[in-house]
Amino acid sequence: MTAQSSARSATPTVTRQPDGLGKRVGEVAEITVLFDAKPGGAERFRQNAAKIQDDAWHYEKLVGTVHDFRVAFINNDTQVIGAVTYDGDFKPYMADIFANAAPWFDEMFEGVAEGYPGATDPHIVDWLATKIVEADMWYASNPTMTVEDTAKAQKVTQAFNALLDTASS
Amino acid sequence: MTATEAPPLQLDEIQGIVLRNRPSPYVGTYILLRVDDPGAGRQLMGRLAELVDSAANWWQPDLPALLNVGLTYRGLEALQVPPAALNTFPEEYRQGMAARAEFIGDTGESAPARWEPPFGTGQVHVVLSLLAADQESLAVVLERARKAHAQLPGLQFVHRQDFYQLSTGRTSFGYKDGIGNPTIEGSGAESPPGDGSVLKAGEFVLGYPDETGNLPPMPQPAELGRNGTFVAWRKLHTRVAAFRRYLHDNSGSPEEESLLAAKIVGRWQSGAPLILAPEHDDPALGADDQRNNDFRYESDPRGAICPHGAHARRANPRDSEIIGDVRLHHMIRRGTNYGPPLPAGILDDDGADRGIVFVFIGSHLDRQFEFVKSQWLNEGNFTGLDQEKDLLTGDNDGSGIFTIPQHPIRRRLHGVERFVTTRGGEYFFLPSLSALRWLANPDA
Repeated sequence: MTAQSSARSATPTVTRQPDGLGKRVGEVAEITVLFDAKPGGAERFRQNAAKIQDDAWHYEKLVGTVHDFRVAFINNDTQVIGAVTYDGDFKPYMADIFANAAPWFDEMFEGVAEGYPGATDPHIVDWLATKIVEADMWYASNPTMTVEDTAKAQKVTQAFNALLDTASS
Repeated sequence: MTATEAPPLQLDEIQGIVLRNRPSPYVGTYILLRVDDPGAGRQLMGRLAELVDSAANWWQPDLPALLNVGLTYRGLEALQVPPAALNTFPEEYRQGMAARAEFIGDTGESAPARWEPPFGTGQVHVVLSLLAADQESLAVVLERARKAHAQLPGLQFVHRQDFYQLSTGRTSFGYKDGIGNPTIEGSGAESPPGDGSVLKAGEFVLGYPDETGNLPPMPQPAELGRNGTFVAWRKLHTRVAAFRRYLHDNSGSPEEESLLAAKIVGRWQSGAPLILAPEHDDPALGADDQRNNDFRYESDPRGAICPHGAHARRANPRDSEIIGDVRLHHMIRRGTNYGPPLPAGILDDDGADRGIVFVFIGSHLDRQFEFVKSQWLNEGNFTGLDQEKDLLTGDNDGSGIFTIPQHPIRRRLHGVERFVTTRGGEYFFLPSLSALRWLANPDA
């Protein structure tokens, strides 16, 4: 451990989300869901995986609060895990996410996850809530930085370096 | 004018306050009741079914007076509504506003423990909303309300909150209010030009498709839920002198003070939107309903004219580039004023209680009222402002900031305190007229 890191402020506290789903530290939160996979679901997913992967950039940009999101099949493809790190509270943005990225979620989980009601189903959030497995340990390196903050910080750094380059050229 | 389609809404089933604009000037009162005897409460519902005003022909000239009714979840319990029906109400309504305090920023001075009784105590079961054009009409509608709860000893009067329009036609902070309610598809009315969006009726009335294409989750049986909606009712004390002093301390002249206030609110005092009047107030624009809401933010992506953190831009970002989907977070607002105005120029608090009775109406307490309060007013991340809260209504604690984009370097104000304190609030269900009849005999 460097002197710099040991001099940082107190260790951030990891708590449960105020609305009770998943863990939260600072501005950042995690959620992990565990679905039973339908027979042949993993194959179906993998057949579409390239498109699902490509579409991620489009849909996550629309959502704007997701740091990372992964999907993995486990236990001989009988179950599927989805794990997300995102900003803020869990419930408030769910309606926005499913309203804007419904085709993407359906592309991933229709015919793949057992009982999946469809992203436009009015009870999708309630169904999802029953599938959550809370992390027992979770570390986030920059818990005060949202996706928006990170993008902004990157822009500022680039602009500042451009300024220094111009001044020194 | 934005013409909407012929009304598919059952307007004679929907309570009038949902769609009717208040008269101007207006006067009125909220009467809060507790139901001690379920039989009495049920009788009250039966009587009110014949006495409340519906939204039929709501776009016609104002009725001289309007009587409407709402119930808290505790109120439904007090009527002994069967559990099978109670369990179909949304979670946040069942919990009640006080239980949601942490999430919506009712902390510190605004915490439920400091609310005025009877708010947040479980004693508020029924609200009668009486709105009139003048005192004479109010007396008439008060008599109707009296008839509704007369000779029912099982009902207990617990509170009365009067309200009226200030002679200036403005809020206690000095701003024209009530501009910018949404245009609702199928309501049958013509709306003044707004940002161009026409919203699905299900955003505001249960039983119709909403902006997601779905029917909003609706209390059951359908007779109870359909054509009803939800209300977030809040008594908000405005710290007018403190706000004026903050403006004064951060400005070098009266003109600067006026411009700073417009940057904070997003409108000038007349109601003229900053985006259409960037330099100075334009009272003719403010008074013109055909123009004062006819704008978007596309010409101002950086907030150089109207800051992203301005109250009006936060509460309705319109076409601004934000995280999330604006369509899902609109609100019908029916705010009114209470208490005496603070005379112009006074910078010291006179101790009087003044403020706004904020009234939200919509199908989704969670993704409309609670979302706007928690994500748009008490947070800034959605619009690139990190932790910055609304200066005017946010739950600031004296260390708040307010960013004003300008060239070449943005200006940032510090030391923002809380200028609006919650004195009480409740979530109500506004049943349809048929649902009132159902509530009169819920065991049938």
